[in-house]
Amino acid sequence: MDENWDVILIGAGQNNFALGTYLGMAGLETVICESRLENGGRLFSEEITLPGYWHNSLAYFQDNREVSPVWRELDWENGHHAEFVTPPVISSLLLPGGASVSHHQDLDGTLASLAHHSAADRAAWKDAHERFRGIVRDIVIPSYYAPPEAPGALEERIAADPAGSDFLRLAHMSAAEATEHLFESDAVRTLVLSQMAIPRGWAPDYEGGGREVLALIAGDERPQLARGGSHSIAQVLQRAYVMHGGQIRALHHVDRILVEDGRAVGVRLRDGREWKARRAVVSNVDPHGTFIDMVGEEHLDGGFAQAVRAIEPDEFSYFQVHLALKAPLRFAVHEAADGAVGQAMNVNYGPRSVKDLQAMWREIRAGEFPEHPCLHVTCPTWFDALQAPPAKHTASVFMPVPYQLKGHQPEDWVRLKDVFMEQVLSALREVATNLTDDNIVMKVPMDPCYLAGRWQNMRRGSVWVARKTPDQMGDNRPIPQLAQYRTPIQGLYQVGVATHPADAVIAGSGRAAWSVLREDLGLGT
Amino acid sequence: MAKVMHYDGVVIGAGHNGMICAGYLGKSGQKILVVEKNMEVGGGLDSHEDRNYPGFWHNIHSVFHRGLMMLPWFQDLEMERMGIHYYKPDPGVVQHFLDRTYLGWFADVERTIATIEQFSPKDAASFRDIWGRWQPVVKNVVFPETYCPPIPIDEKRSLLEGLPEGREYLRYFDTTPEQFILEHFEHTRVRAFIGFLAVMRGYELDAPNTGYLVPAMIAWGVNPQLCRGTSHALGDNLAHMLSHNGVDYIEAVGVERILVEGGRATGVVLEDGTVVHAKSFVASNVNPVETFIKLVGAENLDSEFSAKAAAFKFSKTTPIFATNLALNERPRYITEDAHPEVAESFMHIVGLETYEDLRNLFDDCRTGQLPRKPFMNGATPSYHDPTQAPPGKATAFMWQLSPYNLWGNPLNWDKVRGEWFERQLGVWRQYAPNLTEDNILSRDSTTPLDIERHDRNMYEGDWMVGEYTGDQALENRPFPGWGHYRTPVTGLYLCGSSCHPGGNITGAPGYNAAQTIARDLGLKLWWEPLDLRRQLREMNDRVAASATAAG
Repeated sequence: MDENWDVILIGAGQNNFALGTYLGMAGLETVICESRLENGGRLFSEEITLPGYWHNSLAYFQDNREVSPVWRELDWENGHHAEFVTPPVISSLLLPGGASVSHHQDLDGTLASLAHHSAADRAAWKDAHERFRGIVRDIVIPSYYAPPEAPGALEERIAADPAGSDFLRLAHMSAAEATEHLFESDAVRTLVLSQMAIPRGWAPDYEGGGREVLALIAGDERPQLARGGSHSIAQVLQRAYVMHGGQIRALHHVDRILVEDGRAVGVRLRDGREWKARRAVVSNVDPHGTFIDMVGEEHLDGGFAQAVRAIEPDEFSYFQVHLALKAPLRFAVHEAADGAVGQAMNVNYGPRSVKDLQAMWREIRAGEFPEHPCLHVTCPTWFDALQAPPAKHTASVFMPVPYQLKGHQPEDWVRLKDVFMEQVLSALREVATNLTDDNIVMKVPMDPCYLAGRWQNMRRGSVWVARKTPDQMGDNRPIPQLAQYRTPIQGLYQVGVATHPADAVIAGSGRAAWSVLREDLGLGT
Repeated sequence: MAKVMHYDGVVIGAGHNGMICAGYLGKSGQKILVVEKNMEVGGGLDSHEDRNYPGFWHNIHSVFHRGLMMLPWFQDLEMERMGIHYYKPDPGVVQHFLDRTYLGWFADVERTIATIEQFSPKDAASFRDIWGRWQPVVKNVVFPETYCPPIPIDEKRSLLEGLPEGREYLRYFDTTPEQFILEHFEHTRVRAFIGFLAVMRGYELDAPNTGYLVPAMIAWGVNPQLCRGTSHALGDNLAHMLSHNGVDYIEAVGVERILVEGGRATGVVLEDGTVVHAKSFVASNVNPVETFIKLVGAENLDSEFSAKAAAFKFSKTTPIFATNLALNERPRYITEDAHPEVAESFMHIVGLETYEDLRNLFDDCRTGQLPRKPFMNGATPSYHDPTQAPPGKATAFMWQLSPYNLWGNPLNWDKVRGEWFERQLGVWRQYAPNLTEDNILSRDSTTPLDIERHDRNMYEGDWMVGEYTGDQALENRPFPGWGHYRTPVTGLYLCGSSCHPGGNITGAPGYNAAQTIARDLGLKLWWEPLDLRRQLREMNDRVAASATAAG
């Protein structure tokens, strides 16, 4: 039983679910080996505080779903019961004195909020939205679902648009430069830049971050909450995959990828069982895990192994606090001034200015728990009552922190996390007017070291696996030798967040890799 | 505008019974939707990652499964093809005593008897006698009875009286488990061992008409098995089985109401307002109070039936307080030096030194007190299945039967959680002294209240989902006259643990309900169900024929 397959897929994340579904539709027998019990990778919800309270312990919303070709092609929506709710406001940045600035789903809402801070910025946002929208929707987003193009090819297509050269000029800048170039108000700049690390994985000074700024402004990304919690999305992907004949084996840790004569022929599981793959092995694990740990350097040339080892991880990781609450989190002072705050999926609090964000990055890079934190606060039950028991609520706080604190080992987080949780809560109490001890039924912190242990491809707590610097993006992601999903080992493919498009959209690399496998395995169209 | 969906059948609750029932009917060609309130399917097949140390998986609810790979549904629905595998540790159970002796239950009955013999040769003889006499009773009566819709007692008596195994069954039918145990065993430890194992199956010591279950347990054997990759793997793979059989399921949304029109169940309304029309049937895997009082509504029932439903009893003695540990090394028991075989045991029992302890626990649970003397059963899952902990590390747990209504209010469990955890751990440590602070990485607890919080179906933390007493057993489960999975609402069925044969991971209520529904719908059965009635008739015919031949 279980010994022979056409394709063995390692890791039950979104990309392997998509790829596995395409392979199943083509008639191949596939299995996904997942080292955890739960599928879906970062699309995870769990009762981490108390039973009945479902917390999203990494990805907490989904964007760009409606424009995703993979979502349509695999009939995830209608065929497999995906349900979403759309909070009217994407993000509100809370400022001193009850002030705030909000990014709405609807352009006019955003413009009205910006107008409180700067008429020029209102105009700049509107202009950028209108001029660049087509480029983002018609060129940039579709490029996320195909293998990366040769240098210049994508840019050539963008340049053909009337607004193309302006787009490219801004896109090549860092996020900080682009923001500074577009806007004059510190509040508006901070609103944009505070959303770069979480949830996008960009530091403000990485070259090319300007593209993220334009996607945020012009992309109509339409972030939504999956009803019941993010894990619902994983369940949908799982259903589609299994419905097309796919098999899943949970808590099946792959120790080795078996290589014979330079070709991947199967896997060995931690319990010693060996399974054969007739056609291919696909790894959704990080490249270090795939090649150094599972393939083994004896099968690799030294230069390649060195390049894999040299892949830079993210500069930051996530610290999280999950709360089971009696009453939904409220920001009474800010809500009184602008009702948008009360309808925000994501409330950002901490940075009052770009300077504060710069200080946060200095602190993170110095290995300090930020004294200038940027808290991302969400109360999903305000929009989706099903994530908690009747009339009860959940809230979660996410913040960028270093993986390793100066003077500590990563393992020390388990001793320090409670103290940091209290620090975070006390900062949050400055604006969350009902975050009293009496309101909190239960609170649980989650630290970067825990994250890395739970999702082993997030080596050193690196959520994007390979840092989003230009030398590791596009057709260089994560290294040129892996950028087309093929690897130096014949029959072995690499997908996942380490590859293009770096998880900017749902299952992008899974669909892009499908086009590569389809060709390599001669599966027709 | 509320969403509207159309199906042949709707199953409420993706516990294992609901999914098994849906699997059979889906494979029969019915278009079915299973609706689950929780994000995760599986009901009591629930496992969580430790919240301090990743890679340690705790089996939060059910762990000790009995011979599932042999069961008809496991084979019919090709669960092995889904990757499900069971470990079968031997011995299955060891009860450790402070004087470093033990009682053990082995695959080889003679080894079990040898451990009893050291305490009482008379009990050993009695055990051997029951084991031998009850083999045909289990094989020909008790096992098929579990996997068939129940036969009313009068008819059953007439079928059984003429058969030697039938007379054996009837001989103890009217007794309580306690009466059987006291009558057949004299040593207090042997009584405690057998009594506790019966209780851990969800039986009540003093419940009439359930005494025969004790010799059945002895003959059947107590050889629990462990699901590879945690219990939840079975839940997940049952869901995969659904997809393979064309059954849809959705999670994270509960059923708000069962639609009844003209005395017939026609669908359900979900918590988000979605209306799901069911052309043929609605099957509820949740308990009858939830099903009838909350979902159907008294206005759709006659008052006598409503009163029955509202009066359905939940057990006061099944709720559990679980202590789950993430460990550097597995617990090492004080009996291991002299008896290395005990380390291999799946279930470990600690703290239970006399039958009196067990009796007292019943009193404490029923009066809502903390157990005066903790004793527990548990296991070291990672010892048998290393995937449940990081390499070289261990998971272990111990369960204490406890009252739900602690001092009259279940919320008291939130107050005593930490303190009571240490109390249980202290007792455990007497038997496994290496459970030192250095060894323990992380503690995780589940209280009787948490059971209900996670699983709304398990009212009052009762994982048996209804007290297992004579008036709520066999054809009386959930109510006298309604032991056939049908209900007064046409097209509405029950398929969960509140039906025959009760709680635990047996799949039997779902399996039996599927047969009833399929027959009512006039579907061609693609599987061959067990048929106790036919089997007993044939046995009677053979007896009659040989009597004629002899005459």
